[in-house]
Amino acid sequence: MNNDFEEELIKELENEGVFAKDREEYTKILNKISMSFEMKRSESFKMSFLSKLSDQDKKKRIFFTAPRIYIPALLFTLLLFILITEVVNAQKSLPGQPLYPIKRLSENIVKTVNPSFQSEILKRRSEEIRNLAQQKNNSELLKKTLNDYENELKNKNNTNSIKIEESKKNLEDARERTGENSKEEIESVIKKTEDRIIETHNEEQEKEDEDKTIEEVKSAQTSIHEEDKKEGKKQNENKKYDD
Amino acid sequence: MRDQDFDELYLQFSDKIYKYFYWQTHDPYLAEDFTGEVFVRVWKNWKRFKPDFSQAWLYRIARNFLIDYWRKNKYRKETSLETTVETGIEPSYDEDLIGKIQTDNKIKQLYDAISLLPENLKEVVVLRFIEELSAKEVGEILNLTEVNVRVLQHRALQKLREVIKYE
Repeated sequence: MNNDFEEELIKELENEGVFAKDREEYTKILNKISMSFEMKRSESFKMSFLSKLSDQDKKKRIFFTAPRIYIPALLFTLLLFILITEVVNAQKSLPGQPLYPIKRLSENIVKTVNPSFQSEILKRRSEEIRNLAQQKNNSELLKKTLNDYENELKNKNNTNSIKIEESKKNLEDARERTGENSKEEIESVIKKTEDRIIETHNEEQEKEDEDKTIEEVKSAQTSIHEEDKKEGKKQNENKKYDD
Repeated sequence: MRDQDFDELYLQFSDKIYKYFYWQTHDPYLAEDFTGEVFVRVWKNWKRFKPDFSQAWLYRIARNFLIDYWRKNKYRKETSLETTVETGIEPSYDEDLIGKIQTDNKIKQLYDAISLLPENLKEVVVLRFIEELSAKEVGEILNLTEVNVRVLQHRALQKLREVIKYE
């Protein structure tokens, strides 16, 4: 025991009114306590603990910082995967089903990027009409989808006659499968589709004719240009000969 | 990178904490495990702990750790090496020191005398006379006033005098 510490303790006891005889005995006890040797672990032992702690620190940094970086990336990938799965599954959905709004939203996005996708959308609506017609009890939804189909049909970007004809086939199937109530409505939409097919054919024909005319004009212009060149050459040669 | 101050703290105080645990458990191996655990805890929270560091605060962590340990291992003091704490660091022991502790008669006699004291007096003896902390520091650790610590230390000496006399 430190001498100063022992003195301080004895003083404290004195201040508390402990008798001198008692103080003497207490001092002996304190000496006995102090005689037990100091429990000091070796310096090398302590240093080895600190170095182990250091190693653990390094490991901790590897194991704990890595997830901090990868966890958000993994979560993002997982979310993306779920989103893609949902969008893919939504493509098979029908009006009235929970995933159907996702299907429409994805169609709108693709349509913005690729306007020719409009014809595919028309075909999809016709497929939906066919499937709803088969279910028979969804006359309200069928009506709504027929309206959607008509709106798509009016779109000027619908120029793919093959897709429109496929759509017509789907509608004809729907007419066969549906109950009497909706038959008339489908029939009228089929007629509109046929009109659109004729229109598209005419547009295609017109375009073809236009292209042909442009080509003819171009080739005519080229031949005139070549003849002019030949004429010019001849004149130059004649001039040289005259000289 | 670990703080340089932490290394200094460990070198300066780990023996004291080891001694504290030894007198509380009478098991030099367990005392080493506990000392390691306390310093790992301090190290993990060093940035938070550093500004408020004091010797009394370190003992308080050690004491709280011990109370938790005894609470979890209900059969107090019947500790075994199989129930050592997990510091995440492979345990090692200063076998030379442990050999000396285990063969030292004075330590054994003193431990036998101290273990006869009631728990509150025993804690005061260990902290005040063995660890040589001031009455104020002991008060901080045990949540007592300085006056209370002095009263208890006086009572502890009276009891020790009886015990040591009848040995």
